[in-house]
Amino acid sequence: MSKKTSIATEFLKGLWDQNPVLRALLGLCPTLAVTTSAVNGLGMGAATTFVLLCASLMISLLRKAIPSQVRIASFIVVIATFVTIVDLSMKAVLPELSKSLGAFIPLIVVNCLILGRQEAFASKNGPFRALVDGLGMGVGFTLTLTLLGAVREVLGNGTVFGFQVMPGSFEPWIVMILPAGAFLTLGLMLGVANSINQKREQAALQQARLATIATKEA
Amino acid sequence: MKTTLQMLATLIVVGMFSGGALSLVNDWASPLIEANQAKIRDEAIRFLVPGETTEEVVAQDGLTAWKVFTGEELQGWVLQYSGNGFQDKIDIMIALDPERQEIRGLKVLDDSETPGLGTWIRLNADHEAALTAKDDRNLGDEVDDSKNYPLQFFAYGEGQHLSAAGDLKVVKGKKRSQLGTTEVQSITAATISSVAIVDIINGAVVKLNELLAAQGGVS
Repeated sequence: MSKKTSIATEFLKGLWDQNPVLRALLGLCPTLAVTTSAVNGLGMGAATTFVLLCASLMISLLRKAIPSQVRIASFIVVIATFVTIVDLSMKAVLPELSKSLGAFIPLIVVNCLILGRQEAFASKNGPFRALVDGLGMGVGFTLTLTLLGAVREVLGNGTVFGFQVMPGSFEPWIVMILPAGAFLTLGLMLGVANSINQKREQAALQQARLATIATKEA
Repeated sequence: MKTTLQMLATLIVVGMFSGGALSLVNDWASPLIEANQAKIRDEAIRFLVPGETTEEVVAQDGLTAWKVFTGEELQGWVLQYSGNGFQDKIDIMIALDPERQEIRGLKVLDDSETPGLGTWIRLNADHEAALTAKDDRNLGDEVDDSKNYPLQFFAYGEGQHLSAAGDLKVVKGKKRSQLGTTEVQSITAATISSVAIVDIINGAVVKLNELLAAQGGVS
């Protein structure tokens, strides 16, 4: 990562260009498993963002002190500490959410999104940049999971965040809150994201061509 | 050698800080977690045995039961029990009448059954327990036979309840009015969950009776 990249770009890349779910396909296990409702998606995203922020800050501060031979082991210990803190706090303060997310909170430890950001970014950049990167990635992950959860909840239960949005006559598609619904929805979301990106790339290419022609003519 | 020491020192320091932080968080969180669990249990007891009640705990070998009183009068027994469901443990609380002959209510505290299918064990138990409580434990005319409740507990002739002798079984395709006091209607497309919950109920009442017999026939 070049130091020239602006802070805003560092944050925004997590939202779309390097979105952990839609572009990098990281952390798909919780993405598919817990997004049966918008609240679950938001809760999972928030928990992951918290761990990502704390771990990125810590690893970035310690990056010069940790010998490279034991860096992965140290990263995992730091990540596991924050995940356990989130798990205990959630059980204490938000027992309902903790119950519905179940084993997937402890499993944030092995979410490759988090270890990936430590290895690729936090261990090579200063604390402020690491925080911004973690926040961008976390927000991108949270938004994607919330959207996925909301789509599945609307079709599978007729509600969003627990509020009824579909008419009473609507027959819920139970398949949408079953695992198959997660794959179907994520597949469609990836398709839409890819098609948007393709269009953007084509438009950029077209502009570059026009620019070249314009330069030649001049 | 220097690198080895540096590696060791790093891991030790990181591990120590991690352990310290977790110990602090645990000190703060564990009383709150316990309070949450106690609250869930209390609410379930209120739900199963409505009214102003006091409880006396009877516990042995990991089994917890409550004798529920109104003043001096024994209202019934509430028992927490768990067993294997379709994918994970199902944790339930059931209420028995004072003589422990009938099941008066059921609350599913925790389950990981298939959403929309197996989870009907929870929804239906809640629904019927609410009905039972409202209607003075007598479903009578409130039961609409044309509605197909996926799993039917506590619904037989007037004033009758499920048997608490540990002899419940799952049946298929019967009308609510035809069900006997040892029969529970299966959930369509969730037979495993239906059988599991009935097995757990049977196990729970047998365990409670064993526990009380061991304590010298408390009744």
